[in-house]
Amino acid sequence: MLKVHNLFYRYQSRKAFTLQDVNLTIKPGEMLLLAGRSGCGKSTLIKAISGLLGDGEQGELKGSIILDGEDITLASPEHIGMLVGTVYQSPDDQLFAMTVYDEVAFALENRGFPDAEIKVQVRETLQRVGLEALEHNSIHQLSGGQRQRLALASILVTKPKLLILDEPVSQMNPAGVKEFMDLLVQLNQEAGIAVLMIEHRVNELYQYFSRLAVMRQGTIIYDGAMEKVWSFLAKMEQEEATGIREPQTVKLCKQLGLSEILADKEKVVDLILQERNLESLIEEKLISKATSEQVKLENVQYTYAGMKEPTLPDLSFSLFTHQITALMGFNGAGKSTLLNLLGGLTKPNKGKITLGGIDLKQQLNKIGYLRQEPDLMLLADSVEEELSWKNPGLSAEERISFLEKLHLTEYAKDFPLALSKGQRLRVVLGAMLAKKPQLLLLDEPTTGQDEECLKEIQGLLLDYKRQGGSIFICTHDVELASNIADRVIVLQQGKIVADAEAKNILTNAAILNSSGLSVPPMLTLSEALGIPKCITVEEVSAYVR
Amino acid sequence: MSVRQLWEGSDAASWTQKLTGHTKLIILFSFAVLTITIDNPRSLFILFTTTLLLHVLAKTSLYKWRALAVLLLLSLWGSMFSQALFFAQTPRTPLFVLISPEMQFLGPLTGGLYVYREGILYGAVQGLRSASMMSLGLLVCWTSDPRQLLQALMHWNLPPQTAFMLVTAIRFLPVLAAETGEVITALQLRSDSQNGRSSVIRHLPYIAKPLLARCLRRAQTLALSVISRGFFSASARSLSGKWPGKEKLFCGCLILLTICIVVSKIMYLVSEQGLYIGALRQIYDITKLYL
Repeated sequence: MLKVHNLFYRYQSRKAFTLQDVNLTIKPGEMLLLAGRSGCGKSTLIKAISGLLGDGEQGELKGSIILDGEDITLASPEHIGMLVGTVYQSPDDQLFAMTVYDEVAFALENRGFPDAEIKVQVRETLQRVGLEALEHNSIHQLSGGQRQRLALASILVTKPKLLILDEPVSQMNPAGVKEFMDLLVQLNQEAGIAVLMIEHRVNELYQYFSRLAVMRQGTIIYDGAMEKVWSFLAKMEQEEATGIREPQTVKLCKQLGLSEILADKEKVVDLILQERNLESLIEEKLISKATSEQVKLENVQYTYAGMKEPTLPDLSFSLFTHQITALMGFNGAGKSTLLNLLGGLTKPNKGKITLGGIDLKQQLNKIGYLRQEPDLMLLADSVEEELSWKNPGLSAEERISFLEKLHLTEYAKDFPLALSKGQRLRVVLGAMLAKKPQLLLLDEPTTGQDEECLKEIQGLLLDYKRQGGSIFICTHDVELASNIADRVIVLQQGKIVADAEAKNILTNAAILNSSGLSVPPMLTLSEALGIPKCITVEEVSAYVR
Repeated sequence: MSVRQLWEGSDAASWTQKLTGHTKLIILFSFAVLTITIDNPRSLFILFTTTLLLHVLAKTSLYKWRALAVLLLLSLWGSMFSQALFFAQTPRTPLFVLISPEMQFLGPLTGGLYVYREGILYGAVQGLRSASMMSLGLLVCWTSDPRQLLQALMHWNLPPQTAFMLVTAIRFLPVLAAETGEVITALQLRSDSQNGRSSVIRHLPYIAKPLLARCLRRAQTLALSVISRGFFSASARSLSGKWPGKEKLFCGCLILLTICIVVSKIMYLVSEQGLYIGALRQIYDITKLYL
């Protein structure tokens, strides 16, 4: 179906080649996952396949791309568009028409199909992606997941032979990812469309793909079976990081030094039982830190204007210093509303919120709030200016120290929006931390981040916690919560259904399932091993000798 | 109702959605020429009310009427207020004295500040012009699929890339409106003071950069998306020729009317300069009275 042969590409403005001797083959009906760090050349490769990189003024292109037996290396994007469909990360950026029907009909209209045929094909496609009931709805009335399905439908209607998806699930919660991937697999099996997907979240997607290609610095360094990639990655040095989020089972195999590195839970259990002995009881070293109440919510109620039922009917809880609290639950449970109340963006209709014993309204400048779209929080011309933005208390020495902590010293003078996604997030988080807030609120901070960035963020948050900070983090990422949260609050329809130590909640499959959260792989693995319930790789490792 | 839905038009009456982009753009262009040409406040008011009537016929929803009312009132009030204070032409009749020339310090500094009757009228005329175009512009935004306008522009041989750039703004209006709110929130959150956490106005100067950066990225992705879906292909361009006869006839009449009004206005102005043609006296009269 697709054969990329010895492909090189250099942008006109750069000296080095962004793509260096890329070789990639995809067979008809095959599904391939392509992963790699931000800036490794994945997007450039997609552009090359889509015909968006010419050889001339834009840059230098060498090698060949054969699609369905035709050399498309220098073909026009319109021509390639007849064979290849591309779905981008954010559906908002690619939808063009006003209604669902018009959006799907768009490509067929452009190809001069008669109206009657367009109608039949659009309805058929909408049915395949489960949007048939929303045909006449505005695209702006759809949820994020529905918009991504619509973006997929607008491409599928052209019956492409190859479907390219550029991080399509990076902004979805686990339930949304599962729904989208099930749909994609179904389409692949029914229509035989070859799929090339780019994504960092290999830990969540590996079960859907039998083949993975890994890119680093413009070259494909691995292209083969999914189950063999883990051993390959394990041999790589730290500085050769690929940004791939590995499954926890793989991390466990590495940590225990098992003879094989596998992702499949059952196989890992068998391997541990074969190669290691288990401790039935270990002494838990609880390091308790003196905490004090930082934030207190008393009978807080919030109702949106025009709504009859309150989104948050009656909430009471406290947040403490030296503590990371994760807020979890279904979409629409009221998590963002609660964060907005704590961030002072909205005021409760009833009840009281205090910070350090004083009314929250008078303490707003002591709260740091990192919103879900960190790019919209970048306001200055350089990274160092971002840290000092509206922060007169930050000395030059502190700024330098922050840049070091954020691993951004070499980018101090760079334009923040030109940095990679992970670096941009670190800049905003750094700007928040530089103000030394008493309470730090974070809304889905790990969305679309690669493994290395994730580790750096975790490190920053743990460091802030050690200094006495209180963190309230809204996340669907169970792995993140397992790794850093001391406490978990689960919200359902505006009510707290569980509030306890992280381990107690994250080892309770019933609560996790009823709240739309995925069960941590280490939980099922520890149950299968017959050891006490664990949620992190480190905990399981402690029971294995 | 979300901010996004406020700036998109899927809820408009179906007849307005069915009108081709050609017709909508010609109506918009004709109104633009007429509002510039006509000076008579009553005629301008009729033009303005016509745009409002079109909103009624297009079944503009209540929440959009509210937004429209705020924008129109701000535009009219701003224009009348500024002209009332700073009207420089003569004759001018002071209605109120805000700062007397004799007032200590401010008097000699400003030379006196008055509210002029002629300034209010002049401001009303200018305000009606901008309000009419704002009202009609929003109507086009609220009833048009970006594809319609693109097809019209391409039918008139505008380069596809230029046409795309012109129309992308309409597609992004709902998203841009929502993101503006997000950026203001971000600015509030990054403010160092208690007041800054709730103020909106003090943050306005800083909203352009993040919005612009996002827009550039969005526009690039959207362009890639429509290119790969064959928008600039030959068959897509041939589609742009669909323009129903009835609409063509209506547009022809409207263009003719606009040309007649412009020509009569030019002739009237020329007559004032001394080139008077007696046979056109009735046209001069109509022009003087209504235009």
